[in-house]
Amino acid sequence: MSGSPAFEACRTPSVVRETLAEYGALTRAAILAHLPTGEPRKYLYDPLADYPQRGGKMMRSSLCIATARAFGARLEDALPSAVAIELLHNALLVHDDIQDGSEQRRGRPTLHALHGVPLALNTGDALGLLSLRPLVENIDRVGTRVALRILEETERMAWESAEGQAMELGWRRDNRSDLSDADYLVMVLKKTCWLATIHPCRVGALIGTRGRAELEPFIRFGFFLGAAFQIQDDLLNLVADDRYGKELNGDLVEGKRTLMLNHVLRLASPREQQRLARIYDPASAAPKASQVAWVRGLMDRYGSVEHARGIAHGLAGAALHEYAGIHDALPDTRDKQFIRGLVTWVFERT
Amino acid sequence: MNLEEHAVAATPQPVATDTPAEAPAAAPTAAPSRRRRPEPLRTAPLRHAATLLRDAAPAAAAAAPAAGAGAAAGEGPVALGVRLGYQVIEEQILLGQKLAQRLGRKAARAVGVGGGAGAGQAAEAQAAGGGEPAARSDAATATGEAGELLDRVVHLYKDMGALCVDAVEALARNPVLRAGVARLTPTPTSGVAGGANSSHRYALDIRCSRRTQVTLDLRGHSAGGLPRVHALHAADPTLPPLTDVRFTIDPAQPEPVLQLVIADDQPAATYTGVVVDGSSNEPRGTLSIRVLP
Repeated sequence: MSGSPAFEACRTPSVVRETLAEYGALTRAAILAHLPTGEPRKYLYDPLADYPQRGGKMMRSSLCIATARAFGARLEDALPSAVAIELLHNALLVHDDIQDGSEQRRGRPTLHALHGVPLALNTGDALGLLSLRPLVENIDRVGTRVALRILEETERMAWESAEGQAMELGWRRDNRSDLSDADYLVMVLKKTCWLATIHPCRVGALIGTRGRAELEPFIRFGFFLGAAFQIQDDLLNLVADDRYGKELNGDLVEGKRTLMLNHVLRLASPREQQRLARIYDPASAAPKASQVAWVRGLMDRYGSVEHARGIAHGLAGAALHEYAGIHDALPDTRDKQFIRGLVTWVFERT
Repeated sequence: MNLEEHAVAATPQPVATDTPAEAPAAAPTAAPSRRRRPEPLRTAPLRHAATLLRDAAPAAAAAAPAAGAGAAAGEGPVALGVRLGYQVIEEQILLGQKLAQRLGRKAARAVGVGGGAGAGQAAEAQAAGGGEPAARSDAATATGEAGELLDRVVHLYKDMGALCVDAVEALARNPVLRAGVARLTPTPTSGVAGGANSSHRYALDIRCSRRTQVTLDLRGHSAGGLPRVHALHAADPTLPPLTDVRFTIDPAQPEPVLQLVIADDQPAATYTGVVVDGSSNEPRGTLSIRVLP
């Protein structure tokens, strides 16, 4: 997918992929060291290790480590928090896949498709519990006071994520067709941004400054970056190839209230709206391929994809602005370059 | 800039043409004509009932600014994204502060002294909240002042709590103090050590440029003579052991001295060994030295 001319001219520096690979490998190794073994291996510990071993972009953990280092922390001081973030992320993915009825995750069948919903749910719960262990280890690593602050931050992030997930699931259950772009952004702020970008930045800054950082600016930067990331993710779902790792048009099958679907729902004629309501009626069967193709056609007809892409680029521009406000006073390091490069990277990933 | 302005700006000719870039070539043969806006498709609102069904004019609907509910006239999606983004995030930050304020008060009531997650933010939110309405009743004023007072108390207790945590943390991390807690009586460069159940006390003489934590755990009574300690080993067998560790008598000290010499390049780790009775070689306890990075 191509971005706007402004972002095409601003190619992501190689430091982004290099840093993601480096910090991602370190975090993954630390995660594997945290995974319990033993019995019941078949029913818990093997499924528990499945998603963390599948790879993933490792953006969340890398952002946490990079922010901490940009503020002067040692890598090993940020690693437990990065591990906690990835473990919780994987826990939520297991639950998300069940809630969405998804079939694929990172190019392979989802956990509930492999093991059934009850075992997958239990595995997700266990991953969530496991994410607490590194936060306790933080006490020895960064001191009691900062460790407690990180725990408080984690609690807030978890609440925000739960609220966002509830909004999205509720909209689908109620088959809402009156949602504005602002509604969508509030939902994405909570569901995606807090865990994906805001929390990693805030925790990294706490570690790097030993708890003295002013955290509010990270909400703005994290929101703009995370929302651009999520919209691009939604766009990729409509056009991506096999490398994307999820079902093409899966969001349209699920009736996920993306910017594009909300746009279509607002602009559709009364007859089209009636048909859309029938297609996404939770009481009826999943949409057929022909119905999905019709909705996708509406998006092209009403310019919904371009509308969403434009908003994503606007948000990315705002992210760069907020980045400057936070990071300009810091020394120019590789970690700083990485954080800035993420803003353009979200549009170039597959 | 509208089209007419663009045309005038792009051509130095007194009269602009339809194709300004080609104007020089066309000028000798064609009489320049004034550029005009195209005639509008309609000059009055469409109020026909048929327009209720917008299938009749999908292209027009797609081009309408209503594409983004809340979009200002002529505002493109990029500008809309920026404006909506800031609008949403500022509202949410404010809501977050109010939530934190509420939670902080709840926590203060629940535990009596406050220190809830949002207590600090609550105070910040109040500070940023500006003045109170002038027409407020006395009761409301009193309630508000009580609330402010409560917030200040909460903030104060939170700060004090943080200071206490810092102090405990400093105690726990200070090797000398920690050693004191672990049954050693310390001084900055030398200490007096002795097991809780031991009748003996030992002075501590550490020669090391690094931060260290020393834990001496002795049990029972000595059969006679000074205890001896074997080399102290780390969990990692590849690390060199600490061998320059001994109990000696120093005439200047009233107690026997535990002497430790740790090289500057000794790897950071916890080194542990057995302390044995000097005469019977029976185990009497353990000595553990943590060399910090």
